[in-house]
Amino acid sequence: MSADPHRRAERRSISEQVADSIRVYMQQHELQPGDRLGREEDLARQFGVSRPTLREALRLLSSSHLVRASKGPGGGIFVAATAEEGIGRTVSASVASMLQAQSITIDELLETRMLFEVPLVGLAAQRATDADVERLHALLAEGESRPDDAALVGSVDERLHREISLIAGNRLAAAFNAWVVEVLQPPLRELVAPAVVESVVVEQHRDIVRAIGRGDPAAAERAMREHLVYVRDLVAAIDGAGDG
Amino acid sequence: MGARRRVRGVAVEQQLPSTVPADEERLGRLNDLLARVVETNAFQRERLRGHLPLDTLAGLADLPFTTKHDLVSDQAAHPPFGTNLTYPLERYTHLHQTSGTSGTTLRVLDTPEDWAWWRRNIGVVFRAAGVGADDRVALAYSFGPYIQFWASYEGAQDVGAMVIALGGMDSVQRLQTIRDYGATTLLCTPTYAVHLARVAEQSGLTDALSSVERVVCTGEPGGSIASVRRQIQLGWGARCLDHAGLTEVGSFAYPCDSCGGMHLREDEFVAEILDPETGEPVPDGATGELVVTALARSGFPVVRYRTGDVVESHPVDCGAGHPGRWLPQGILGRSDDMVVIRGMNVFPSAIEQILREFDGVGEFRITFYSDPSAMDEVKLEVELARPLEARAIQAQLRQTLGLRVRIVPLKPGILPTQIGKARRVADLRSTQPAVVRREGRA
Repeated sequence: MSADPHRRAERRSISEQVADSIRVYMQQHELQPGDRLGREEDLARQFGVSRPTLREALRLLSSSHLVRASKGPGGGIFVAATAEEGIGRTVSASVASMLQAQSITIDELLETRMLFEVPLVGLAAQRATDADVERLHALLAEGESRPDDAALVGSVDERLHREISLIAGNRLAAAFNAWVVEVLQPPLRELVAPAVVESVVVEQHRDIVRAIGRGDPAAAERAMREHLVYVRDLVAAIDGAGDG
Repeated sequence: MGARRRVRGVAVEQQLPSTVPADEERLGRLNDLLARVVETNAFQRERLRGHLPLDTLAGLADLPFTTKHDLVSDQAAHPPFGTNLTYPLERYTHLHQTSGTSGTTLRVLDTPEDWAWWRRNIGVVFRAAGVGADDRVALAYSFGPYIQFWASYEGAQDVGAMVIALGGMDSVQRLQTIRDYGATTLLCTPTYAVHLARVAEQSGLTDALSSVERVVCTGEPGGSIASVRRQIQLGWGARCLDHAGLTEVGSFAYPCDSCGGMHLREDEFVAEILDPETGEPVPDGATGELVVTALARSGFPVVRYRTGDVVESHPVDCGAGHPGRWLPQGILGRSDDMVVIRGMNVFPSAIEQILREFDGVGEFRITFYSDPSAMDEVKLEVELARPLEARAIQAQLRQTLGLRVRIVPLKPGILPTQIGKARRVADLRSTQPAVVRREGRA
């Protein structure tokens, strides 16, 4: 954030300023994904800029995953995501490209993940409602019903992490953490599949869910750390399996 | 001792060493040997000069230790065979080498007389294991330059048993051969015995296990560890016996079929059990490094050889009256394997022993490392067929060893199978080079 918004504004192009204005407009009006902003020409008129300038502003917003254009009758510019969802998608897209380019290691990602998810589960343990706990227990029971079913346990794992991130009740933190489920989980699951003992994962889920249910943040954080360290250890075991 | 000639039909017990000779007799043999050696053996002359003859066996304590490093360095300076040779090269007929990691390979030469001594001593091992002329002994070793196969081959001949060589075969072929020829006795490392039983289960070859009455282990600690032993006994439906020796030393311990563990061959060796740090004898009940001096091997003699094997100085005789100090737990580990974790001495073999008490434990790997706060930690990666035991194992390690261990349960088959000498320990602590520990044993 700049200390001097005027100087900052001077350096920004008109289209960037228009994009900022649209962003503010969306948030002030609490627009939700799917809401219609209007047609291009309406928006250009509303913000007092030319069509090409507006188009450039929309392009910026769309690359931040915030708006999308729809053609045809009833078409126009629509809200694609809330601000925090937009952040989440932007982070996910960046992480995905880093992963693809191998400019970041799985271990770095796993370490980052611990920085977020351990405190997040502590918040979740403080803030979970009875309904939240009930949902988590239902998820846990699903895993416990077939603790050796890799596909099932993988899917439970994904949903559990997403739920906890939401229960923590901090939308920005949840947004920053969305890449875990969206980008990291699929290749990670494939990577550890030969080594992971699913029933151990279910056991770790149980510890996490019970700690949240008891409203015990320290135990929840400990259980989450153990769970995430296990994943890192699995990656290390696979990396080191050929050394012997 | 009575094991010098094959005599069929004579009770096995009668051919074991019946007593350990009196100290004066052993001292006399040692002085005779050293007097002969010091004249022509350049390596020993340097070390023994001025000390001979010894007045008592205890006087050995004044002689310098011999380490594997001493012998390897000597051979590096005088390749390929070094200077620990009492006779001209043409007198030697047998060449073996240790399977040490690269750079530590030791070459050991034997004369026909010394090789006959090897044969008799392995014969004692077989007799103690109850192996006789009606047995078929399967040797699950390669035909490499390592002594284990060749000495076992000779020892089996010494008791008149039939040898079934399993070199050049994979595990399935070995099982088929054991089955087809009705082997009664299997020789291998304890790790391999466990592995082979597992392969038999997986390959539908459990009928190969039925003819085997005994598994005679060597090559690494484990054959005397109760849990490993039980696993082999259950897997094979056979007795499990242990013996110990080193290429550069000889066969220095024979199995105790009555009470488990092993006995030291004190009729052929002077054995000391010493604190590896101070070199002083350990008190009864304590563990220390086994240091041995061979009384008869003149071609490649070793005096106060640091075996690196950790044993308990056990003050009690076995119930069956076998001669030679009893090692009820056999070899507990390697002194060079011992690591100090948060002020405690930890032997990887002790961790293994606890692991083997649980069903469904497969391969494992122990890593010592420093966490970011520079605390020494232990990570145990372990394949578990019954994963819910992970926490029970953790609790047991904590209770028995007082050690906090991070357990990483893995699906079976992910870690490399150790079928020879086990290399399951890595020390990655920051103060140490990142090397895999555990020297190969002969």
